[in-house]
Amino acid sequence: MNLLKNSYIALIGTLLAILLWTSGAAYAINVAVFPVEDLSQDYNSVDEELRGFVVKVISKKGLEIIDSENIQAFMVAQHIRQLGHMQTKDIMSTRDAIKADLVVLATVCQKNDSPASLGMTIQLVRTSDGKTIWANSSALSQASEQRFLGVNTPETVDDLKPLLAEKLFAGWPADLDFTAGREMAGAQIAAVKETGYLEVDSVFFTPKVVRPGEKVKCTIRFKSPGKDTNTAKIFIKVGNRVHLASSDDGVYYNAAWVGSNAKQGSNVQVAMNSSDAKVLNQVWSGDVVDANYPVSLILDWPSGKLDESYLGAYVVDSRAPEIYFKLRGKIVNGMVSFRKELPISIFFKRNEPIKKWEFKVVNESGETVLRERGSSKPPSFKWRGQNGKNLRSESGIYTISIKVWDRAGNVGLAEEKVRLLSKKPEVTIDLTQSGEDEIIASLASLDDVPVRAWRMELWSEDSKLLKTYRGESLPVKFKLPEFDESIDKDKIACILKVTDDLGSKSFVKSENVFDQLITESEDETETQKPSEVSDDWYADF
Amino acid sequence: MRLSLLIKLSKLLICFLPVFMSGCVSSQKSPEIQQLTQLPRDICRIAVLPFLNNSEFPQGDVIFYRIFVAELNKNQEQLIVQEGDVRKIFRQMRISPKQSLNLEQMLVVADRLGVDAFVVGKIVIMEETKSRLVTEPKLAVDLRLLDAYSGKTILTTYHARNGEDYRKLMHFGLVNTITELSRLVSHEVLEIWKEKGLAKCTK
Repeated sequence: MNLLKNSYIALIGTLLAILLWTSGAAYAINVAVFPVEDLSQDYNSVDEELRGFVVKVISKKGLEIIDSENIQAFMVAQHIRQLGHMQTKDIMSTRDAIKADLVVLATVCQKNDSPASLGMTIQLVRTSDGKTIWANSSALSQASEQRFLGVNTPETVDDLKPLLAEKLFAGWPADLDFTAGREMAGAQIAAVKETGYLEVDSVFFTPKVVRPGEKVKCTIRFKSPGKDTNTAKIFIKVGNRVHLASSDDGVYYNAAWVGSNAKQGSNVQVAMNSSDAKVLNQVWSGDVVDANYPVSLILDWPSGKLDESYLGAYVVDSRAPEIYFKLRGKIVNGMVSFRKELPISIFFKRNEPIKKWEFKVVNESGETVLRERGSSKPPSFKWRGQNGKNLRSESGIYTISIKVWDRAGNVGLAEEKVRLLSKKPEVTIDLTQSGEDEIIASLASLDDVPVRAWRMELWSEDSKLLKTYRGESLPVKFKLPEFDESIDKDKIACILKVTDDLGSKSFVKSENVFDQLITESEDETETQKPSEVSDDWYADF
Repeated sequence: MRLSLLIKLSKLLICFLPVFMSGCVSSQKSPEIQQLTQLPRDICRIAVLPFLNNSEFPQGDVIFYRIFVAELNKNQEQLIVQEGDVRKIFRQMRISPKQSLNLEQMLVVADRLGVDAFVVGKIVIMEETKSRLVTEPKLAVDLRLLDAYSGKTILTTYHARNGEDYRKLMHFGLVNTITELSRLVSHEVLEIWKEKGLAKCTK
C-alpha cells in the first residue's frame, strides 16, 4: 500500500517537474543588453556600471540575460563600433548569432555628481523583425527628490539609481512571451515576419553629368550577403529601359547605357526617361532636354518577387557655360588700354557649377604670354602686364581669354583685345628762341594717350621757384619769361609732372632746361628729349 | 462669535487658494506650429534624421534625438526607423550629419528606408545653469515633419521651455534636468502634431 502511494507521489512529482521544465523552456526569453553609451562623457564612451544596473533590473523581470562576452564577440564579428544605436540587419543577426529574442539599447543622457543627477533612455527591440516594441526616457536629480526635512534625500548617483529604475522601467511590456519569444503556444503565436534583404553599400555614376550621346556607367557595391544574394538578378532601370548589371568579382556590379556620338547635323540619341518605348528605340531628333534622369535598381528574385529601389540620378547637360568679362580699363582709340594694371571681372549669364578654367594672354604673334589654370569658378583677375616669368611684357596689343569647362565638359569662352603701354607717359620739352629775347617752350606727349594734367616748374640754382606753368592737355606752347640778370640761365632746373588719362604719372627733371634751347637760325631742328626721365620725388614748395 | 469669524475667514481663504496657487504657476505657452501642407493620409514609417546642434551643449543633438525617438516609439502608432539604419544611409551617401539634405538625397533616403515622412530639426538652445543645489535647464528646438515623397514641409514647430515653466507649487513640478525637459518638450510637440492630424497608421 505504502509502495503504491509512494509511486503515485513520485509519478505526480515527475509529471509536475516535466510540466514546469517545458513551460519554462517554452517561455524563456533571451535578452541582449548592449553596452550603454554615455553621452555625458566623450564621444562613444561606455558606462559598464550602468549597463550592470540595467541588467540587474531586467533580470528581475524573469528574462534570461545573454552574457556580455557573447555580445562583445558579436559586436567584433559584425564590426559594430558605435554604441547606443544599431542597424536593423545587425539586430536581426543577433537572433541566430547569440540567440537573442530582444535587444536592449540604453543611453546615459546625463550624469552628474554635484548636484547629483542621472538621465537615461532605453529601447527594447524585437530581433525577429527589428521593430522597437517599447521605449522610455527619464531623469532624476537631487533637487527633484528633496524629502521632508532632508531625510533620505538621495545625494549621489547611486542613490538615484533605484528611483530611476522605477520611473524608467514603468510601462515595461507585460506580454513579451508572445510578442518576442521563440516558443509560442498555439493561438498566441504573433505574426512575425522574417524579411530577407540585400544591402546596397555604395552607388557611383561615372560620370554623373554628361553631354548628350555620352556613356553613363552605374556601379553598385553590395554589402555582404543575406541568403538570397547570389541568386537574385540585378538590373539597372533607366527610364523604361532595363539593363542587366554584370559583375566580374561578385562585389561590384556595373551597367552602362550609351547614346551614339552625334556628328554635326545628325540626330542625337540620349538615354532619357520617357513612358513612350518608341523614343528609346528610334533615333530621336530635336532639341536635347537637359534634365535629371532617375536610375533605379531592380532585384529579380528566384521566387518571382521583384524589388525596385531608387538609386539616384544622372544629369544630361548640353549647354555650354555662357561667360563674359568686364575690363576696368580706359578706352583709348577704341581699345581698352592700360599702363599699370587691368582689373578683369568674370560673369556668368547662368549660374552653374564649373569644373575648371583657363586664363590666357596671347600677344600679336600668337605666343602665349601668360597662362593660369584652376578648378571651380574662376576668380577675378588683375593683369599687371607681366608674363609667365613675372617680367614686364612689351607694349602692344594682347588678346585676353577665359575658357571654362562645366561638369559635362561643355566649354564656354570669352576673349577681348587690350592694349598694354609698358612705359610711363613720355613728354618732350623743346625750347625755341624766337627773336632776341623770346623763348618759346613746346611740350608734347610721345604716345597717343591723352594727357589729363601737366605742371612745369622752373627752379634757380639756389632752389628758388622761378615760374610755374599748368595745363590739361598736350601739345602746348608758351613763352618763357625773361629772367633777372642775377639768375644764371645755365643752371635753371626744370621739373615736369604729367598725368595721363590712364592715371599714370611721370616726372621729367632737367638740371639745365636751356640745354635744349634751339635758336631758329640753327639748322638743327631735331627735337631733343629731356636729359633724363626721372622718377625722383620732388618736394613741392 | 470669534470662532464663527475664524471659520468664515478659513472658508474665504480656501476659496481664494486656487487664485494664490495659480499665481505660482508660470504661464505655459504652446509650441508655435505652422501647417504648410496637408498631412498624407497614412504615415506608417517615419525616419528621424540626425538633428543639428546650434547650442553649446555637448552632444545635445544626440541626447534630444534619442529622447524624441523614445517618445515617438512610446506611441507605437508609426514604425520608427532605427537610428543605425539612418546613419548608415548617411555614411553611404557621404552626407555629414550636420548637413541638410537636398531634394534628390531626400528621395534616395526615403526610398532606401521605405519611409513616408521625415522628422528633421535643430537644437536652438540647450543649456543648464547650475548653482550649488539647483540646476535650471533651458531648451528650444525647431522641428519639422516632411513628406518623404515630395520633400515638402508638412508641419514646422518651434518650442521653447525652461525647467521653471513646469513648477506647480514651491518646488513641486520643477524640472531640474535637461533629459526630463527634453522628454516633456518632445511629448508636447508630438501631442500637438497629433492634434494637427498625425494619426495612427491604419495599414
